[in-house]
Amino acid sequence: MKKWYFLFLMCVMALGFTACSNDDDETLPQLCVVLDCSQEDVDLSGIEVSLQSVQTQQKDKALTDAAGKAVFTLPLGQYHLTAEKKDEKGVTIFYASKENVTLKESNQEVHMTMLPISETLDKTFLLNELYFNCSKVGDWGSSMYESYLTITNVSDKSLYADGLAIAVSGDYNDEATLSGKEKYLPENIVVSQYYTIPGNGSEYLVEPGKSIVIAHSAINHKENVGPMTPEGNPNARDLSGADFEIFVPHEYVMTVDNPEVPNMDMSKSFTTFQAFQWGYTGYAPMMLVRAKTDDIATYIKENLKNMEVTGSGGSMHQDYLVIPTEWVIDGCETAPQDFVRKVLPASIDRTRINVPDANRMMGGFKQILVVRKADADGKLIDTNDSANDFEVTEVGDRHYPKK
Amino acid sequence: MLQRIILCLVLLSCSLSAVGQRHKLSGTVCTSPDSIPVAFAQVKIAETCESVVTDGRGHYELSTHMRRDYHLRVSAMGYITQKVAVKADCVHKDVLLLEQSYALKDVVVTAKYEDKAGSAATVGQEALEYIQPTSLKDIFTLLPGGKMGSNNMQSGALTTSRQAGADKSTSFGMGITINGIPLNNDGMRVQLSGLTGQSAMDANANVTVNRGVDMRTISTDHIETVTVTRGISSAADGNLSSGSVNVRIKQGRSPLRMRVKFDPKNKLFYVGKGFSLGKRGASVYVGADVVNSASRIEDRRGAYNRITGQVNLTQQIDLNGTKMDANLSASGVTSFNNKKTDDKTRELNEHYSTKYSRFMLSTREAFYFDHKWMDQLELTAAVNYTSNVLKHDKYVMNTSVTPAPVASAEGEHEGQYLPKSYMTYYELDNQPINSYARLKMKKYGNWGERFNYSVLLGASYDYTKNIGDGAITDPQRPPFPSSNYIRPRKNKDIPSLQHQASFAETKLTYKSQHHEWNASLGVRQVMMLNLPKNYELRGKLLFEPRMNVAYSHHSEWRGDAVVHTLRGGYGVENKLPSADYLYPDKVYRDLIAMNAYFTDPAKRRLIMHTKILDPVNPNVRENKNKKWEVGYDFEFRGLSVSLTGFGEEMRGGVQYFTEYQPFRYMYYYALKHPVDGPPSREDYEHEVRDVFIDKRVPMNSASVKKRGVEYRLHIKEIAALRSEIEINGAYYRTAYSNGVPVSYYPSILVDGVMYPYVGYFDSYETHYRTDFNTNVWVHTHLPKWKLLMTNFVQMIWTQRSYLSDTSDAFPSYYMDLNGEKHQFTPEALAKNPLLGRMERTFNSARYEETVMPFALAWNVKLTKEINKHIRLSFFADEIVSVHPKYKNAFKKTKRVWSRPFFGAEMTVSL
Repeated sequence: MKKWYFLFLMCVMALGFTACSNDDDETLPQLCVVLDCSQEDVDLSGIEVSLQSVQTQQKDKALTDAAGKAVFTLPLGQYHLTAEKKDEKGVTIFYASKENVTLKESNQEVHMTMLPISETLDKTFLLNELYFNCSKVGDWGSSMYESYLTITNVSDKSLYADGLAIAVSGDYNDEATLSGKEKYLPENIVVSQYYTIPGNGSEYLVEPGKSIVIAHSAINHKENVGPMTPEGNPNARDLSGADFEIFVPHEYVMTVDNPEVPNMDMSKSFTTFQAFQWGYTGYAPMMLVRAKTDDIATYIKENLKNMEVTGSGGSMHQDYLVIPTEWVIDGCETAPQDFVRKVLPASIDRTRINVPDANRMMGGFKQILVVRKADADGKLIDTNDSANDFEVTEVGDRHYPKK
Repeated sequence: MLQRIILCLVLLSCSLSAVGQRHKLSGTVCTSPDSIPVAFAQVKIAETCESVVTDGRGHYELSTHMRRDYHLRVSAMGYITQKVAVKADCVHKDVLLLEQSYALKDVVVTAKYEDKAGSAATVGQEALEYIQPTSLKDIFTLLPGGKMGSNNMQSGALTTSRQAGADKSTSFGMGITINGIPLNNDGMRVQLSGLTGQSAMDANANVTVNRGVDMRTISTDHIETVTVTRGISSAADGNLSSGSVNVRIKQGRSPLRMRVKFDPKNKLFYVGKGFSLGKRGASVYVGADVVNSASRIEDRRGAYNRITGQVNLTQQIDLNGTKMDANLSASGVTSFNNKKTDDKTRELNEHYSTKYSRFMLSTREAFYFDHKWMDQLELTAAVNYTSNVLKHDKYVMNTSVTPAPVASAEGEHEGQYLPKSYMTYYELDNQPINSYARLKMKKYGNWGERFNYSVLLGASYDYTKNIGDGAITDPQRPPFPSSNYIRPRKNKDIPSLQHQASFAETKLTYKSQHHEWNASLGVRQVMMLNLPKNYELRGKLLFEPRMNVAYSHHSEWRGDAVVHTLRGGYGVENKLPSADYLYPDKVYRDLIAMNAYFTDPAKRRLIMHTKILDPVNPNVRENKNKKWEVGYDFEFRGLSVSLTGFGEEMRGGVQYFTEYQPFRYMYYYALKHPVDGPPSREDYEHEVRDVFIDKRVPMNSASVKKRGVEYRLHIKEIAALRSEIEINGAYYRTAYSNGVPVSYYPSILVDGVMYPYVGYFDSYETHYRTDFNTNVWVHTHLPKWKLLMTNFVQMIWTQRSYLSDTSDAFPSYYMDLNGEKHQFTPEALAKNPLLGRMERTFNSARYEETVMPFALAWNVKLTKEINKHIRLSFFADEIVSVHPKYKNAFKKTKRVWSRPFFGAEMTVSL
């Protein structure tokens, strides 16, 4: 008899581990975690689901089955649940979490929706170093293509930068006249340039705390040997080790392309100009964008608006791109000293960082860097307030040479 | 048809030659009161323009058909021009000339309008000396519509004619003759990437091309008279489309004269004298001047420095009873302090020099016959050599690493990266030699007492060859790096310009007691020679009919003559294309096929794909200007009122115009895998790319349409004020446009590649400009104190400009990457929304009118004759200046700002 009873018990337990059931088992309640995903065609099997007891801090893990379900047999109590889908490199690409899930007496089913990791983190990437000012060559020459910016992963997760984009405001904050671009605010914003980091979604990994460098031209700009600079240009940047460069390959291009540095993906980019133009005094604010669309190329085609070219006095009209403000994950309103009006909405940047002695072109080429401040722990400060978050400094010895 | 007209004019001259009897008038021109003979004075019959020059003893002899009373106009350097009445039967007339002096009552310092049939204005030496010009352009201020210049000679601004604004076609079409010899710079070429067809990028370079003669190179100190014809020019003047400026160089005996002029911007010193060489023999005028003009004393780069010299030898020779006036003239102008520096050139060890020199040798022989077919035969020949050389050791600082174009053939080839900075050199060497010969004959005659005529027949030939080396540059180190490069040809390797012309002109006058008719009917034929076979202008005879007709009614009112004149004219003038427009150099368009700039220099590789484009346009034509004018003149008791309405239409101004053509090449865009050395083509991902490349082709695309009214009121003297008053001004309305379809290639990327269409817009914008001004001169003359004071007030009532909103938003047709052209239709747009990117829209402010409000400037000038030898002048320009603020079309507040400007001049005559 005991033998039969034991077999019966084993069968019940087996059922309990393979399916969420409503079987009454007063001693071993079960929690069934059911995953779905915000994106279609995502394989939900084998996803690691973790939980931690609020009361005991005990942790447990389970893998989902083919239907995206994971079952835990647990004491009654409150639990924090997380689910992470990782790629073959072990990098979390989808993530879901739920806190204070109460497991009552009866077995329960909890549904969680997996979102791309970037949408689940409070902070992912931030603009860090903004170098638009460039340097002089002697008293008369200018090294114009050495502008760069860095983007830092401020989360505790390794994140892919693929598909991340930078956008330059189409409106300038040293222009007194309104050019019609302001009417799209605050829900949308007009940009003159939009450059997307290439990749299939899992190519360009950025570890927590690390940065990527996007250079206008990823070469060693110090190599400016000439009659006046026999030793090269000591003021210039070495950007030969940048992660990406912005090379706009029109037929009359008159600069170079470093084959060892990937170019921004021009098929997913837009530019009003035939080259990257930022403004040497910072009158065109920079934004960091994560497009919430699967097909940015089509989006660009469908959202171009013909409008007055800023600074042309209204004589010229050209296409500009309108993007939703909610796509902008970080922005920094840099402004020359003759700041006239604000162009970024408060949701992107509440204030601005002034760049001193930067009256239009005349203020360029002074090696001025706008850089994000860090707190005592070395963490980058982000209060959505550029006046507080950034500082203006000499670019100094910041170089990104090829390793 | 026009050939028939010429034939008719010839026959007319022959048939009329038998009519009428000649009689002789002789006399002596002497000074008053000391009766010293005046040699080389010009004695001219005002009514027919028959003229002779007095010999070394002041004697003249005129053979004329005048059968009615007429006037002699006698002029000589340093003397006041006299107009004396002569009875029809008079055979001897002595004329006394008074030496110019402010102690005399008759001092004329305004332009004279003596041609009854036209609107030509002549500025005599008295006026020239009084207005103290620095260059020929200053004279234009005297003419209706003229405006004050910028007080310095540094900016070689465009020459304008009867227009609001300025344009290169008008400037290019201004014909200048010196002693009847045309001066042009048609042989100049500027063919260098970044500078093609333009006057050199730097305004201080003094290299002018396709914009006419730089008037700063013509000194006014050697000039006796200047006649400016902005209406219908004489058929004898050709290769012009805007107007003519005819300069007559000083000749005859004159005292040693020195002139010093200085003001904050200009310093001028002149010395000249006319020597008499024997009693009957000859006279020679010798003169030189030097000018330094700079806006600031430290501005050594922008300073304009010039020395001119002139020798003018005239002689009367008796060839077995045939009188001959011989003239040999030599002139030179050269710039000095040619090495130009500024802070930048000094810092970068650059050397920049620009040297301009022009030398002219000319001869003119006029034979006077008493023949039934011909009264005068004139042969003119000249050689003119110009050297205009710009040399620049240029320090190039590229803003980044830049590819260098090196290929001399089409297709893919290895390129090289330029250093980011390097010292290079370029030179623009133009040395045009122009030789000119003209033969013309004149016949004067009459038909009864009232009808006089003259017939002018002539032919000319000119030859221009540029023997300069053209653009010299190191292709490995281009001075202006770009993807558009030229491997320059030497100027000496391009064909010479040769023009042949013939002309016929008859002047008819009829005068009775109350009625007077004056007409000038002419036609000019011109042809370009030595053109390549495929050029449209080759062998093309161009005809230019020109006519001026005037009717005057003479009456009396209270014993004073009242003259009303109505006049009208029509003419066609052609400016022929320059060597620069006819023979542009091939353009090498270098596209980057592989741009592998590795960090390791040993691995770098650049492959360029070169396409050679030929911008020659064999269809380039002359710029034809059709002109008309009508006018009314009134004269009574020293009061002259003149009103002239005119119209001009030029549709073929040549300009460099952008044309696109599709081009296919292989583009190597991404490295497939790491490489150890320079990548091969196989190491790269590649694709065929279709793009449009552009070239700038000279085309007859500039159109200028001028309309306007010029007015003039001249009061010889208001006794109470002791002043002569001249009020003149003009209303000009000028429309500038391009007469050929404008192409538009949107500079945008679609899916990472360049946009695949070029749009062509048949409609084009027209830029309208309107000016209305009045200039008032009050010349107060106090002979007792030998003082002449001028108050000059320039009032610009309005200056308006706007762009017509006549450009279509969408093109009429478009070209695809196969070079095929398609109509642009709404259906095509609906089918292919990408076509919509060719839409050209502009802010409405672009079409707003800019209205500059009333502006006023007041200049004062005082000239005092200290004694017979010394004259002192002081001038203050813009002592009162009113330039109110205004808003331009873009609502930006603007204001013209000018400062008072003072200067002085001293003339010493010994």
